[in-house]
Amino acid sequence: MKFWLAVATTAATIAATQVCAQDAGTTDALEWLKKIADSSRTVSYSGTFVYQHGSRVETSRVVHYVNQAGGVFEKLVTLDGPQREIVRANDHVTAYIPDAKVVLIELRSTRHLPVMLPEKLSDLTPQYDVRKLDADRMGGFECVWISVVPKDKLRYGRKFCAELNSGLPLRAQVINENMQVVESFGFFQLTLGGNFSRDQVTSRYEGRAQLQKWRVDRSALNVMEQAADTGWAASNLPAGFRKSMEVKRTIAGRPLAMPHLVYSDGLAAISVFVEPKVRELPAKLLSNQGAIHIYKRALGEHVVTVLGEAPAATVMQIANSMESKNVANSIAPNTVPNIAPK
Amino acid sequence: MQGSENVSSLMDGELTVDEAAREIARLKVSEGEVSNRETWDTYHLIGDAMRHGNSGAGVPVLSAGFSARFSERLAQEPTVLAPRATRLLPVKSRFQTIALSAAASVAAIAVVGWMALSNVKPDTPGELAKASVAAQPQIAAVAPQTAAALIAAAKPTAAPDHMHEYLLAHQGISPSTAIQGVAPYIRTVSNAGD
Repeated sequence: MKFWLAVATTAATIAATQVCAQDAGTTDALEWLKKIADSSRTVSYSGTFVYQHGSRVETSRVVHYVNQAGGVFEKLVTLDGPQREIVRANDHVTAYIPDAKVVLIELRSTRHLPVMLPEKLSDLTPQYDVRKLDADRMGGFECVWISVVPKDKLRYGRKFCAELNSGLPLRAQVINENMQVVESFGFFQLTLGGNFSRDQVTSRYEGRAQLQKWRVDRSALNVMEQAADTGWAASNLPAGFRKSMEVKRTIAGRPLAMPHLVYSDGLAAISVFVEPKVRELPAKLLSNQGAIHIYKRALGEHVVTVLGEAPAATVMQIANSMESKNVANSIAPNTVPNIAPK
Repeated sequence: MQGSENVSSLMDGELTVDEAAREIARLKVSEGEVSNRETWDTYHLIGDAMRHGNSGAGVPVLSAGFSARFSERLAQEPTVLAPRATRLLPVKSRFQTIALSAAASVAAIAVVGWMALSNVKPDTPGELAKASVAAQPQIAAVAPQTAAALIAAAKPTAAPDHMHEYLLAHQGISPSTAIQGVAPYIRTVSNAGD
């Protein structure tokens, strides 16, 4: 327990030294945001939580273990619907799907996400009011509400109730322009710290999967992602959004690597995918899933798919301002890496 | 924890008559830190809260004194012990009922969405779906004026199947999923049964 206290204290100290001139309240709130962001890498816990988005409610159990070397081990077990168990050892993810007798294996690279970088935290403040609100109590733990309120209607708000010692969010909400919660996450049973054994982060299906020779699907391991100048850019970005990533990547079910650009305001991220148009687009071009809006549009010989956890207008503005920087795009789509002119 | 899983199964009607009877008996006794009865109440409270829409404000889950009035009414009713017949239904239809929360993981926080979609069509009738009419997107009313008309015309529909891959690729880079302490992973399982 002492170790975790030390880690939490260190994280808080680092955050404190790196937050630049803000008023005291905002600085304090940003420190809490940093602590929340760090908690998944610093805190061991086990518990049961509810995740809700739109009309769907999911209950799952989680064991999350961080060892002294910083390795993260995790097991998730769904409590409703079909049985699913997902085991993670750092970036190595194995999902057991008993009804299909399938084991999915994939790698999740641990990225340096914009908001994880301390110097980027203050980038949030032009777009959001970050405030520390009231103390609260959840499942026997003391927590404090941190609110991230957008200054315009181009982005969603967030609210977290962070456990006082660890910063672990006991509840997290995404709030839309009408102050409605579009996604929420909350523990209703939680144990912080505690002793872990390997059994706790091992799937109970592991033996059965081997014995019954479940199909092992490793196709996700072949996903390629490479930094590149894709030749595409958004000419009219919503206020506060900047390009945070530009790669060519493969996507399951598509034969070729395609441009993938990411625009972020530090908290929300919006992805843009560009691919050759192979057929006419369906009538419904705007869809959503929880806090995520998806918008598809034709652009000459290409199809642009834009999605992110932001209001529809923001996603559509980016989609509508996508332009090819390269005239050659209209002749030889640069989604074909081997043919694209340099 | 075994206790709460059993309670969950009991609520979902997944237990046999014998198992259910045993669980109901266990609901009456205290066990460990959190009794099964508390777990049962908590699960239902959560379900109720979720089904009553998102705002939470001003929407009482149960009116004051509901339990007392209910107990009173219940005492006057004849006792009918009729376990749910889920065991007798074909596997497929049982799946459709419970698949609403098909889901994934915590981690899943952001990923659960499309996993759920991959297992159940958006228009699948179900208790939760019917109960939460409030979850309709509110786009037209809230969009900035510049795009309002366009968006009103393009009312979002539920994400279609072929969007899973994009959603997956996107989840990996979204900072807000990281800040929720949730490492999103696992790709779509829609083709897992192939």
